[in-house]
Amino acid sequence: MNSEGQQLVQRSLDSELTGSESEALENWLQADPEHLRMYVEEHLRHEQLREVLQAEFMEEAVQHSLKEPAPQADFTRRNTLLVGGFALAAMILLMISIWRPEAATSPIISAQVLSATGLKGRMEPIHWQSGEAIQLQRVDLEAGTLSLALASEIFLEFQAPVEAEFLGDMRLRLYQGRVNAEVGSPGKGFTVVTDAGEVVDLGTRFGVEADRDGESRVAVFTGKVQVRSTDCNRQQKTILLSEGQAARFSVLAGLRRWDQVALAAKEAGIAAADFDALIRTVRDNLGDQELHPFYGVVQGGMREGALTYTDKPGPKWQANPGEPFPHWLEGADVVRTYHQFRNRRRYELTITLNQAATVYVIHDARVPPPAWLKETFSDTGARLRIGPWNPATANQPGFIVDEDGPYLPVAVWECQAGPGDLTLGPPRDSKTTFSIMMYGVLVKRSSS
Amino acid sequence: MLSEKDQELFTALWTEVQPEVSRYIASLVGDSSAVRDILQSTSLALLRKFSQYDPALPFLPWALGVAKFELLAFRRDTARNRICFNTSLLDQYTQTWAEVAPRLSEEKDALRLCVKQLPPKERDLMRLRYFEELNSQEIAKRLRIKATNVRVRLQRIRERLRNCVQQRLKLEGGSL
Repeated sequence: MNSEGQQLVQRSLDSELTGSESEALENWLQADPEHLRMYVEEHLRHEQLREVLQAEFMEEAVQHSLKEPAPQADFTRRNTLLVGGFALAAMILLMISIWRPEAATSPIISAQVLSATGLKGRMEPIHWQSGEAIQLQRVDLEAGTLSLALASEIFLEFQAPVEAEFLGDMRLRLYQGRVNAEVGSPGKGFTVVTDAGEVVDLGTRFGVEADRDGESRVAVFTGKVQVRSTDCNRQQKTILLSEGQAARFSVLAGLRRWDQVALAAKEAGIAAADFDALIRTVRDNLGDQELHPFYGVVQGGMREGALTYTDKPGPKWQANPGEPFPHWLEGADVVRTYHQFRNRRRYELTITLNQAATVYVIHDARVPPPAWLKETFSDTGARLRIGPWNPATANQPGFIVDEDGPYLPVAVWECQAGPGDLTLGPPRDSKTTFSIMMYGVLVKRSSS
Repeated sequence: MLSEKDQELFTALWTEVQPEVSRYIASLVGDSSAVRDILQSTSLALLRKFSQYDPALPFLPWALGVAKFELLAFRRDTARNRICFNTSLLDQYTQTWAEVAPRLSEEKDALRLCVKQLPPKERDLMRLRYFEELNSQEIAKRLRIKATNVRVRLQRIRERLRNCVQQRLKLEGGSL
């Protein structure tokens, strides 16, 4: 390989070719079949290298997260970083307000308060303000929501009632309650430890709930996490979960599917389930399976721009250009479905309603509705669009390509149902060979 | 609709070649989420077209051919492409990939061992590039060195790893 060709190939491996270099590389490749063979070999080896290194460093991050820092050493190191009376005062205040006997052995963590709403400590009120720099060992809240930014691009949202303890910069022990985490690349390996096992971040956004009775639950919104659970026979099971997947795990019952997750409306994150809500349960007929998919229920979450699926962060419900978003849909409870189920032929989704309600199914308008939809629902005549989708889909029939990507037209169907079960079928009839989108479901309290 | 036997055959063949197809897509598309999407659409396309597959022929070239069409659909978004080939060159690239991939697959185990031997500084650089997925500019900023220096160092490490792999395969009696 000549020097110029070699340089171009190396730059292409790092995706750093300029427009003119791309052109030069293309010419060089076409000049001799041997150049192309060398180029392919370089790229093949490069992709192998990427896989090997990612596996290597992922394992290293996981191993690192398992090593709890020596508390005394960490405390000493942290102490040297404390500057000024403010930090010390904050530390003393924190130790007084949320002190527990074992806290003395925990490291002290530096954090910045991003938001603090209605905080009430178990022993006395906490007066943290947004933007405040704090030092803490534990979070023990009876009421309120606390969002913190830690070092290594780790952002945590604690929802009361919650009791947690930092075991290091990269490790959080969650005794009970709910925490949502968003972790940037430097924080890969951040771990949440519960009675039931561990959730190791692999660069992602996820939420964990822990109960005092020993069950924990995790849902992933973007990226991946590794879940390690240990059963009563001390057998450890490890699974990887990616976006749209969730699991519940406990020492007694092991790893199981967590099929219905209450979600926050504004941002990706788990929220407290309201057992008096319109929707009691959402479940499918697929049983416990390796995929660990979940359905997200967002109470009152329907609005323009609401997310559609749990396993795809892109597509959102939108009005068609120049048309208002239907006001009668706003504020409905949203069931975020699992897009990968769009091709399941024997799929059933059962929604149990606590009371009578109007149920809307938003279906791909490019194809005839399946028989179950036509029989039970009626077309409202309202049309929305869903997107943006991956640009790779733009050449498929019926997509409308907008500035930010392709969109699909959808039709809104409705029926009156409940209280009780309402079972929906697969998104397409078996005779339809067309690849379509998974439908969405909304539920709104009946006006009568 | 595939028979149960065909479904089993498809599963076996697809499981076998999926890593190679994934690498092929990744070599042409820099965005890992796009790679996943294209791989998924390739998988569905292969399943739909499986009745057209001739079992007397190797599966990998056929699967790469299908992946190529899924990639071509994706190429509308050229900003996210690693490189934008013309169709004829992409055909040749795909064909060459199918020929070369099986031969190089044996290098991966040796590569794993060689990576473990990297000195700490080189290991750190590889972590920034391949785990944190930073480009040379971002790495340069992090390490407070020049981007050209980063590129040269990355190239040297890759060369060293390649030499290490060759040595190992020679010792084990493998071929390159």
